[in-house]
Amino acid sequence: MTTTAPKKKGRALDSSYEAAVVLKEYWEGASRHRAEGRPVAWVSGNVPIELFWALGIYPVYPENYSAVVASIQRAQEFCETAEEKGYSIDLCSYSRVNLGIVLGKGVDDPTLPYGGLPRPDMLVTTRIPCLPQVKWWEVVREHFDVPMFVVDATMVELPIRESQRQHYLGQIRELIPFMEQKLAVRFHEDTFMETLKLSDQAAELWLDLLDLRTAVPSPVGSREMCGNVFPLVAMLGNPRTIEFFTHLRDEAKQCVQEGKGALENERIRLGWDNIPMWYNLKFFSDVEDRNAIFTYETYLRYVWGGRMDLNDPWTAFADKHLDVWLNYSINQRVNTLLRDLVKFKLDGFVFHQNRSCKRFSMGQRDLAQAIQEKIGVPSLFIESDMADPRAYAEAPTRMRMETFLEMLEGRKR
Amino acid sequence: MVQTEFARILADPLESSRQWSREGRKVIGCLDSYIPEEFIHAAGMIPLRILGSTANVTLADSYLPVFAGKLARTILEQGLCGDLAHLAGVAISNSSDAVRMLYDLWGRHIPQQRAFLIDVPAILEGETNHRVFRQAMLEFKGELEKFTGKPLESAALRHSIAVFNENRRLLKDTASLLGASPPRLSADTYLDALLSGFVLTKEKHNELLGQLLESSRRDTPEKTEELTPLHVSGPILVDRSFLPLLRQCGATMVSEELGTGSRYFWDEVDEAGEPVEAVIERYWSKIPESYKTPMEPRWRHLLNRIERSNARGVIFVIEKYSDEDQYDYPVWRDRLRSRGIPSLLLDSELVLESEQVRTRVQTFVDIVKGGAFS
Repeated sequence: MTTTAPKKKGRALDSSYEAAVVLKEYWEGASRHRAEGRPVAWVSGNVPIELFWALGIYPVYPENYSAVVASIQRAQEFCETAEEKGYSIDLCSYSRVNLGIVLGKGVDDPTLPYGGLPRPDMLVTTRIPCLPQVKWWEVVREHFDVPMFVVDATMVELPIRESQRQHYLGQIRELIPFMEQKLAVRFHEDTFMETLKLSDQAAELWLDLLDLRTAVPSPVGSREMCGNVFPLVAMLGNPRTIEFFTHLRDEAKQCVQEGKGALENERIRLGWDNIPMWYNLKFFSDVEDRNAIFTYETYLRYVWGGRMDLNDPWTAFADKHLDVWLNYSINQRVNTLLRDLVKFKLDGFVFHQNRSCKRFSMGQRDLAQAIQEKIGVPSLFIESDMADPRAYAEAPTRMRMETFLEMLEGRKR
Repeated sequence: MVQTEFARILADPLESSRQWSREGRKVIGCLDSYIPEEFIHAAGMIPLRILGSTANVTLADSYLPVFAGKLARTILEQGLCGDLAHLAGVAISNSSDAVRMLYDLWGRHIPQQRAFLIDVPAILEGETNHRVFRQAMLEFKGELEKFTGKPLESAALRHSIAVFNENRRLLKDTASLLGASPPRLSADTYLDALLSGFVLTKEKHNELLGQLLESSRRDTPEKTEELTPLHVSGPILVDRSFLPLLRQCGATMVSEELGTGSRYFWDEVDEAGEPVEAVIERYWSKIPESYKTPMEPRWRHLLNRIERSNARGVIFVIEKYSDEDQYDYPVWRDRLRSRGIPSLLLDSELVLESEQVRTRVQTFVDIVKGGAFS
């Protein structure tokens, strides 16, 4: 790409460097927990995470682990192992990385990041992000032969219906005794409420941080923010998350107050839909050479960590877990996106047609049509995959992005 | 001959429904196996199973990516291009993610046609999910009543249950002839009989199945070559050229547990019970599809069918991008292998016929015949 502004090296926020430390602490904590004989559960995105921290069960996220493996450029070898075992190349790449590890050299393979994945005592998953997640867990159960619980939910349009809320809470009332019985832990409501407070504090900080990115210029771009999100996924209810997010939020706030952006000359503001390409987060920062910045992501705003009204904690708990992008109907996604695009003053939008996340990707054409017709924001589709680099075609994708940016620049003149 | 009649029906599967529509009858297109068709029938309408088409996808390309799968994409295509315009409505259940998305897309792009959502859980375990499943079924019944402007009468529902149960028993009887020795029914005819049932009224289908059973039992079987008995598994099999291909390779289907086969008809509704609750219970406890949990009842059904038919191998016909089945396949394969039963996976996109498929099937049949599997 043509450089029109001095390239900014490193992170826009110094606090972002803490993300790697937090991630390492999390995975080391999981191994320590396992080594001390305390219970470990393998969980997936959008499980009722606060319950695990409240009950002293360490929630291990193979999805995050797959993203980590992808970010260090090792996903392909595990995907290929899973494919050799019969798992189709068309299946979710997070699951193929995980199954490649589990069914290949095993979770204790010392060459794995953080010394390997701690073995599970229990599996908990949910249909909220997608149905294949449940199927993936069934394969894992077949291998480890440990108890499994699945939290179901039907897709929502806001406001959430009482029947959907009660469906969720009814299952939570079944999950708690299941965990108590299988893992010899005890649920204390007071502890749980404290965990919810910590979770909500973290969510508040995160949403404040995202809202600061409505500022022009934006204090921080997507590449950095994708690296910062992990505690919101796995560590809600853990005080370390609050510490980290406070640093991020405060630093971003100061930048905004000083009018200091991540780019010295921000000209184009972009949004992103879907899970990022973890092996190629550079895609986000490459556009910065053209004075463009990704400053909004549906993945970072609506997939994890909503707020809760703790005056009615159980209702809020249910609503928070149901009110996520992947569980939204297409109509709900359209309405949400239209509102946010105006708020974030976006010039263009990039849809990642992610082969591995079909639930995220289906309906994107409707979103693109709606934002073009209703508020005149053009969009670009790129086809790729969140973890499997074989699905990413560098040259044509870069060319399409260049052309898109040129078109957006032309509109600005 | 009834076999010719099945073939005639399948040459234009939507023709019967167009005729009903011209006669002023309301037809509801059903997109999956968790639509309580008895409710639709009892409400005075005709349920019609929509199984996609082999036509090219053009209009639906604007709304669904390739990886949504051929079934969902071709059904949407049929809706968008007007092939289903004669239907009074479509009933979509919360099944695979792609099919669930069809409900949203139908509302947005085919708003002139009524779309019903039967918003049942994917997890068919636990008291809470059972309650929600029941509630979703009752809501669908209520929506049908509003749609027709008439309450669904118990007597009508009992009658519908009897008609559907008779259909299930006849299909089971038909399936039992598959592995008979000497052969009484070809696998091709069995598949045609199955598929015709989705696009005929159940009454008409029962009549034709009765004729088929009678002729199969009466007629002296032709002397045929020795074919290797195989079991066929998968969510959907609509490619009528596959079973002739199998025969050309020296094998035949002696049992199946297809989503569009025995999993669809195996379980009956309890006719002694309160009819609405009995229908709901039937769908709750039926052999689950791949997009439902738990998976074990489906495994038991698969094993039971193989054992009873003495099938010597299994062919999995799985739709490309059908994640649920793609995750199950290696698990089933390994379980079968531990019992000494070989299996073969064939990827399908509603269509299977190709030289590559022929080669793979032929090799598999040779292995099964030769007993070289270990």
